[in-house]
Amino acid sequence: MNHLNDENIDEIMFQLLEGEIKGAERIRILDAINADKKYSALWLIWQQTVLNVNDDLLVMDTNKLKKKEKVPFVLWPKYAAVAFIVLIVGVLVWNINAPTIPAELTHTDYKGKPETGVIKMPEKPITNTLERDTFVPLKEKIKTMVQNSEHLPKYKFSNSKLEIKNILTPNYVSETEKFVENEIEPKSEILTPTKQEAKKETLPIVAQNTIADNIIVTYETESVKTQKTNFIQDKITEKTNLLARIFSKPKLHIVNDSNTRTNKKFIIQNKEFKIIAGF
Amino acid sequence: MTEREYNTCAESIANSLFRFIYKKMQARENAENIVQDTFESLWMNKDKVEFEKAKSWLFTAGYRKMIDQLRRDKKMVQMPEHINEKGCTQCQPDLKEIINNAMQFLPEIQRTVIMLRDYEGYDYAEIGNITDLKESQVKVYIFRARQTLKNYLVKLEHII
Repeated sequence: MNHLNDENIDEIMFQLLEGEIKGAERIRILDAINADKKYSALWLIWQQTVLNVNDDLLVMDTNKLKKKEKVPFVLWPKYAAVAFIVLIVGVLVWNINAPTIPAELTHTDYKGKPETGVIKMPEKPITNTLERDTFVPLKEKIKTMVQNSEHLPKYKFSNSKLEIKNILTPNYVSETEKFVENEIEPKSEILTPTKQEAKKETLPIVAQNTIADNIIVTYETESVKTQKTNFIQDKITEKTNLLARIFSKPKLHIVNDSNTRTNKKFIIQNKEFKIIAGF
Repeated sequence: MTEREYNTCAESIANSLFRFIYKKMQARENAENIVQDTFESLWMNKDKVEFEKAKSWLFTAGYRKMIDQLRRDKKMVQMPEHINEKGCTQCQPDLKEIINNAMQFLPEIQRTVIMLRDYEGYDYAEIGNITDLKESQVKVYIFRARQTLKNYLVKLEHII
């Protein structure tokens, strides 16, 4: 940088003011200016030529320049309609894909989970003539069971001995029954009504036949049948009325929500359901 | 540019644009009208103007509208050949007022560039884009404007 003189002082001070001279050179020139009384006064005047924005707090009402940030009116009802249709279709598809139960179903066709535990044992034909002769005929057994159906006791196994005679014919005592009572070993696992087929086969033939023939749990009273039928009917009714439950006496609310594109969200609500949709 | 970005511009730039135009027009109502016209133009062209360049666009459009308005009104301030000493004696001792008065003696283009430089902080290139000048021309105009202000202040010191 040239030496400061009257010819270049304005240009140098302008460059200082505009920040064109930086670093060590700027410091050197400023020191030179401060050393000269005339130049330092001139430098102060040059600094006054910079307009200070804080001196002029001129403002205008900017609110009248703003535009309302709104979604075009024709758009948001369109979105809402599409969303509503999608919602309806979704509910219908969900309903269709649900397991269907014909109204004419009976409890025997129903493959759902049974309400009560049912013990079903495989039937075995009586091949042993001794058994056939010594046991009560099948018709007699059923007849007896029907007569005692209302007072049908639970199968109780008292410490490894089957109380078979109490179930079928309480007053009937035969040689075979005695034989069964004496022969069955005290095995509590066998007495548990589970699906342990292999263990049941280890029983003596006579005892197995006795259980299979006498503990016929497929037999159902009218009350059980009615209970199951009612359960199925309830399920069918529940499925059929799903739409009615969702849309029965609905209340539609439209509320503001800044998280959605339309700044709106829709709430369909009744006593049981509340569906919120925002777009 | 979205509606939200437009409103952001209105919030942040409108006052500086108004100040810039008011300084030159010296009429609040005219300055507000030009600012409104400028923002209306921005709204009409919001699909073409990028948000990042909105400030420069607004000042360019506002400056041109102001020039048109001044030409229509024939209120262009003419720079006197020499600073009138009588006028200087009427100046108030407050430095802000002195500078504002001195600004009235600057040519239109010098006043424009120095205001864009000091009030808005634009560099030479941006000022050149707004005023359709080259960078070198902008620099010369700013230098002359500051020199005029300095001379005004120096003479004022002599008088006071």
